[in-house]
Amino acid sequence: LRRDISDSGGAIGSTDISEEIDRDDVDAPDGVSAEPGETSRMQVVLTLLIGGYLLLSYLVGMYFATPVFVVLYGVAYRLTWKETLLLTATASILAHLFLIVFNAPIASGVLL
Amino acid sequence: MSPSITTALIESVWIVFSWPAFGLLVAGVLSGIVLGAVPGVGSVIGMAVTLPLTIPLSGAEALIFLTAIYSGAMYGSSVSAILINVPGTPAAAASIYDGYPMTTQGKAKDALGISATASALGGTTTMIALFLVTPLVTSIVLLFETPHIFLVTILGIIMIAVIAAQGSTVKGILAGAFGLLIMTVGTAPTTPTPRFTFDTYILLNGFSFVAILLGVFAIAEMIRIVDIEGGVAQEVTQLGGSVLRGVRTTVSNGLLMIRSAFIGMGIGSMPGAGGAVSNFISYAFEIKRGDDDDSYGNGNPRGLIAAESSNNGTVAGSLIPVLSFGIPGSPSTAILLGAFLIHGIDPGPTLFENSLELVYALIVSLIVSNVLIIVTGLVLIAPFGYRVSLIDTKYLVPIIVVLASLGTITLRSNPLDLLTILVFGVIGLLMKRHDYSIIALVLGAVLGTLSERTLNRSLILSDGSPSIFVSDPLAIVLAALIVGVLVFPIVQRLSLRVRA
Repeated sequence: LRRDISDSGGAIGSTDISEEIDRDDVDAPDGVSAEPGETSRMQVVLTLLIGGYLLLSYLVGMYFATPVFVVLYGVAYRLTWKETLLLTATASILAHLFLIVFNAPIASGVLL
Repeated sequence: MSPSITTALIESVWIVFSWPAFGLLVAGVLSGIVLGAVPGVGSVIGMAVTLPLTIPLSGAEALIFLTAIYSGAMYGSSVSAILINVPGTPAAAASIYDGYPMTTQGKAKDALGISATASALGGTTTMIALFLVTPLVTSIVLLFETPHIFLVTILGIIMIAVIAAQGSTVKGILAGAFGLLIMTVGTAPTTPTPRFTFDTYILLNGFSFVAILLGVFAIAEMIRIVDIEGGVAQEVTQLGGSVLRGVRTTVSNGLLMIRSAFIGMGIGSMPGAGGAVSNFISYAFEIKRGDDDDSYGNGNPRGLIAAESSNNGTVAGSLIPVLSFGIPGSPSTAILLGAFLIHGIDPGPTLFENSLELVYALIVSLIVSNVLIIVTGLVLIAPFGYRVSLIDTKYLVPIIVVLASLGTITLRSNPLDLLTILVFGVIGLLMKRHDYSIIALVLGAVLGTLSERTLNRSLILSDGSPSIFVSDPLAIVLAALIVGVLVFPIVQRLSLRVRA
């Protein structure tokens, strides 16, 4: 049973049909900070940031939570202030477009 | 050509060239090329984050937009493969072997010209073939009734789980079953019975499969690639060569291009085997046919033509199972199926019976997409647009996360969906890491409601007797296929043991 669970059983072999990039298959880029299969600090930080972003969105609305998330991301990943400002502006414009074009319910949360 | 087909074809041309459909088509191709050319994004994430944006559009407009992104991204992914040795998606992975050596030999523009021409001509040829086989597909699909559709949904999930099992058959089936299971949360589709709601109203509507898609594709991928410091791009100092020479090379290898495109189409029509498989098989096939094996991998344009025409040919093939039976063969077509469902269009017999013009509109729009690909590829991408491949991953991550979150909340205004994208982002990451098939999970989730609805209807028709699933020859064939697909890996393993 263990062998059946762990071995490939693909009828045409093991075919990774994911359309995402499997970076293990291409030349290793510079600066990979974790071995494949390990969770890096950056991945944990991003997961926590996304969790915080979604929680803040629930509380005060995504319209206000979005710039906070991007600024914190810029701080966590040591972007320059110009890069952070540009990303924050881009994300805020996207949120604004969702609000006015799609009438998205992002302007308020349970507290605001 | 029968009058109904002629009428549907004329209507489809009208749909594609009407406003805003044509504008969406152009926007979809351009954004698809850009998304495909940026390593780490590609067609899946691009289609996933734009899926919620299609809500205000009509079903035809939404599908035209999403298939244009799909087609554009298939070409776009080759740009980074050729220039920086990193494919935008695995569908262009084989393009690295001869595309990147051409760049290092000062023939980058030749390679980009080949890529645009082979993608566009390969895609167009297979789309015309798809148009020609549509009447045959229609006559087959119309034989399917409710019990058959239930059996097809189960067959689709099991085929994906078994054929495309990344780690093992058991893991594939578990992933598909998990997808089916999570869609049972909420009110039952045929009776107003709440299930697994823990007496909370928030779970009454169940999980959104769009939030699940965005979680396992967009969020999981962002968490995965955030690790890559400095991005994957290396500087492209100078692009040498000639775009026109690349076009001439492709045209002079027309038979090779057509052969590879049809290999791509054939492979794409199999559930579970998309562009990621077809480009390698076409490439390997061409090496076997060629007399000078050693030149492949060292900048042989024929290798690049084989890889590029096959991955765009895959698009036509992958539409066959999704349009005929609602069975997507790849993550991109799973998202396309999601678009069908959120716009209230049921793929399968109903689609061919009542909305043949929509099927043709998709085919026509993809032919037009291929024309746009060749124009954009030759005029914009080769001389200027390659710069998009150099975008650093760290700038993409927050934007994709924000887009995915905004899209999720826009769709249903349900806070549960915010939790869903995060939880399924982590689940998707862990599944990929431990070789569980994400597409099997997605297919289970996307087909879960249809599967349950058709099961309930079939049992109502038969007064609760399961014999309805083996009551006619077609049902028996489908049931036998399900058993066959499940048993095949065991037989395969036993035969290998006996030989060993």
